[in-house]
Amino acid sequence: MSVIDTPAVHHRSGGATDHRHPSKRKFDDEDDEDFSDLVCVRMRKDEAKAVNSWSASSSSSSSDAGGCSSLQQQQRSHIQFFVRMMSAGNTIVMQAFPEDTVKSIHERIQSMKGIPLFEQRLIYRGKQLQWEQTLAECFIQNDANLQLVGRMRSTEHPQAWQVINDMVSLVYRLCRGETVHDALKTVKGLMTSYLNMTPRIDNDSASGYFQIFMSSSAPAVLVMLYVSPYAGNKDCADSSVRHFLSSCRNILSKALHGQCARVVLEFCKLLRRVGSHDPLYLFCRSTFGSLLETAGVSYGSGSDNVKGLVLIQDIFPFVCELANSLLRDLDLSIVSPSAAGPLSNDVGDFSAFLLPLRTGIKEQQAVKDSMAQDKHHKLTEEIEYLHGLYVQLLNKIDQCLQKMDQSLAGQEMMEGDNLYPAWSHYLSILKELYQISKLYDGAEEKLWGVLTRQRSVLCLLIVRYAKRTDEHQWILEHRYVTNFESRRHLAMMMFPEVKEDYEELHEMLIDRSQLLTESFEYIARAEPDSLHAGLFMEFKNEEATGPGVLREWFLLVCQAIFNPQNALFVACPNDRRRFFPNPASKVHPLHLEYFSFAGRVIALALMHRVQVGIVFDRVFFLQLAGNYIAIEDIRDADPYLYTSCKQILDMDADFIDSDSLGLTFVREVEELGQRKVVELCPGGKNLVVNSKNRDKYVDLLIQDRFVTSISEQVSHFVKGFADILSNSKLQQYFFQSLDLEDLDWMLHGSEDTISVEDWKAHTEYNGYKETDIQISWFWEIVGRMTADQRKVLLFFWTSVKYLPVEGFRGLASRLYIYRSLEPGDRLPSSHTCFFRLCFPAYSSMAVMKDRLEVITQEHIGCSFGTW
Amino acid sequence: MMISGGGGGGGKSSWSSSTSSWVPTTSVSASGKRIQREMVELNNDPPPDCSAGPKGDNLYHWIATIIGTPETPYQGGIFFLDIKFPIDYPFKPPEVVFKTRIYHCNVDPDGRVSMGILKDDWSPALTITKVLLEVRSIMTNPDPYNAVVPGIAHLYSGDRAKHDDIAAEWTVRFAK
Repeated sequence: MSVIDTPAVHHRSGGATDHRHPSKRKFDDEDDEDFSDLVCVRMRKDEAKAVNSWSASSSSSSSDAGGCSSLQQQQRSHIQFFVRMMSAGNTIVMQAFPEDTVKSIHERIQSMKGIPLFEQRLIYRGKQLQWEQTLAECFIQNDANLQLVGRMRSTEHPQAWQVINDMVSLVYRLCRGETVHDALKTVKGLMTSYLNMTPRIDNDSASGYFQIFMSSSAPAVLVMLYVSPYAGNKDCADSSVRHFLSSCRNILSKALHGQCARVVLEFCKLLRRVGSHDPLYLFCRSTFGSLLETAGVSYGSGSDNVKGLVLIQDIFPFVCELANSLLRDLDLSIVSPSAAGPLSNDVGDFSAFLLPLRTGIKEQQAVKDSMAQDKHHKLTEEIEYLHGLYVQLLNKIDQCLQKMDQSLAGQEMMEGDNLYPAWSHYLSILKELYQISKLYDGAEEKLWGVLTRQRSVLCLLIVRYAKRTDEHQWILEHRYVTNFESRRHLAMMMFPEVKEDYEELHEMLIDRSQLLTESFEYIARAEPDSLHAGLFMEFKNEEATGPGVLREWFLLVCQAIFNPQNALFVACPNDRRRFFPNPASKVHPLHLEYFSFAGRVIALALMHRVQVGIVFDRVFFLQLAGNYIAIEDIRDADPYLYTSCKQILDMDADFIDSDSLGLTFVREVEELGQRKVVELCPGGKNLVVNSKNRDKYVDLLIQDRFVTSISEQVSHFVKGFADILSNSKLQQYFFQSLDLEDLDWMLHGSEDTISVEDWKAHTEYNGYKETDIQISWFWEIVGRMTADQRKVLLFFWTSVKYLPVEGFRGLASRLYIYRSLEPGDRLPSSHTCFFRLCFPAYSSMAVMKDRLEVITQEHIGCSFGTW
Repeated sequence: MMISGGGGGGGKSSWSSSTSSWVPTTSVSASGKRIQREMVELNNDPPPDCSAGPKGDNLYHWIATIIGTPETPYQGGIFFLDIKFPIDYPFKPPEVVFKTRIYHCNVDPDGRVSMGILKDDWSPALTITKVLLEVRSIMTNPDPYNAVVPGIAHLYSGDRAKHDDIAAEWTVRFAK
């Protein structure tokens, strides 16, 4: 204890209202003071430990117990403390009871010094004391030193301070059990006023505002209110905190998220002690995670705290907490597949917290050599611990996938009823594991090892659970873990979803005789967005509308676009269904616009899942994917050039060096009947091909023939195709995610002859029973048809000319045979939109056969609707 | 249009009379240069009973003559052929068509010659000289297993004497 200067004390005592002599008081209470000090020291240490704990612990309850004990002990003893005045050097000694309020101290200071009540602020341990608090609640001890500062006119953001202090004062009253009228509305109102004051653009000003929120202990008092036993207090706190959190996320600009994150982190630390499953804590944690997407995170030393950034060390506890939660839920889903499994929120939060952690680890690895040992040591713990979490999660997910595999064994894999909700988050968790695996040597191999073993299950997860909003490019880095169905699913999700509502569809009314030009006008001239909902199609002077007509239109317009007579595309000599852009397409002045149009049409056909019966040559496909064209890729497009180039590369060096071939670095092209010489490189005319430069020569020749000569056409096709994708930047990735064979199947469909058994298995009856004689006759007649007749019949029935790769199962619905009430001399009719074929109950098989043979004539079956 | 040396059907081309002789190696394309080189080679070392050269002033359209080999049904006949070079010669084979009708299982009714080296077995190292030699070769030894006229091949295999009589008769009617 320090000795008090008697003259100074004597000087101030003249104005004091306290009649007792301070020296005398001190000596009389010596023993009580010693005891209080011991109790307080222990309390402070417990408190510090609790604040730093990553999870709720018993120290919290012991701290509370200590607090209670201290309160009881001090209720009968005075406290003597010192208040240092605003002007330097002046200190007064004051005595008060622990239960006295801070406001009463302010009142005594006012009467002693004449300082107005509202201009006073008492600071203790860096925090302002609130009027409604008691000295005990502020942990004021004997010989404590308080600082009196003025509420000066020049204080930054005085209005914000006032509002926050009003809110904090009100909360203190509520915590003491006072009944306040309309408390919830008032607290929320004050919170709203404060938030409305916060600048939305000026980052520096906003920083000051959030500092006020922190310095005033607003988070702590709100959490105190949340755990208060008095009725209504918890709801009031819950509502106010959620209001603050929602505003941080939704109202304040992203530039302020870094400031918000610090406050939200404080709430998280306080609420975690309430319980790691507390709903307000979970909401708070989730908000913190989402703010981290835009908030800056510090990966360095504590000095960076000055900038108001969140530390990596602050994030790590959340990662651990969430990882363990996921492990627990995955365990549950193994034991009981029908359990809910990991929570969607948990997976999302895990992802949000992992991102800055991974970034921090990556940055550290980059500068590992130059980092101080102390800092290195700190982050090393996180790195090692994260690796442990990775291994555990990977093993757990491996078990989950094995369990899935067992569940599916013996069952029809695609049956929706057999899939469990627990499985829906496996893909998201795997994606996070992939991101973590990039941080550690050998970890990626382990992950892909698991995925390779569980390939079929992974593909099923993709087809069933991959969503449009997710990002899946990581899966395709190792394509061998995917299959056609999963790759197609991922590709199709890059298209907008076709709408059902006719109001939103892009309408077209086409004259058949002007099919290509009118289609061009409707599609090429349309705004891309207007095509994203889908198409509605009608032919002029025809009754039919709906998806069947649309399918027919796709077939016809693709036939027209890829017709060699239109000079847009060239067919491969040995496979007339396979096309690439025609270098000579410029004979048509609008050819580039038609390539954009073609790109849109192909994208729309894929989007509508219509097989159009053409496929792309490899040289075209590879350019759409942004890939290099090598000699093996031109094999189909130009077999002669391919063979000749191979021979040039394989020829005896002496022979080619003798210039027997007479080749130089030029290529001859014919344009509109005119022969032109193109140099493959500068000075190519005079550069003789020899054994040293023949590789380069062949490469340049192929690039000029198949890339340079059609580069404009390809780029316009690409532009048109990208217009239809939800995100046009994904165009190249769309083609990269598929193999050429995948695209063949999507565009052309099945090349197998139509299976009558498959057809029959996917047909239902209305007005007929499967056992009716007419049905038996029908399938017998179909069974005897030629392959071409079956195709025409199917087209007549459905407007589907090419089945999907899966056969009838891949169609949008089952097929139907309806009994018609027309007389027996009528021909069958159809509703292609609904996959419906109608015919009357013919009297004999011969009659039915005759009628079916009429509609399976090519020129009739494929041009219905014109009579 | 490419500048080319003059030449007539069946006649020998005269290199010295070329109107572009002052810059012959830089004024034509790869295929043109290559074709000119072959023309020189052909004139310097013509294959037996064969001749060929550009028809008119088009370097890419030649006419060739082949005299029927003794001891074959085509003996004594003079057969005219059209040779057309594709723009991407020598990466693609030339098109060889008999303009004189010939009774042969490897020549279709339109006169198109069907030989391996004019299709899948083409190589840029092959030249017109080699093509003409090959045509002359199949006139001596038809290839019935890769026939384009099955009837003739059948007769060649089944009744060689009659086949040869018909071929000789066609030669008299069309090639003499």
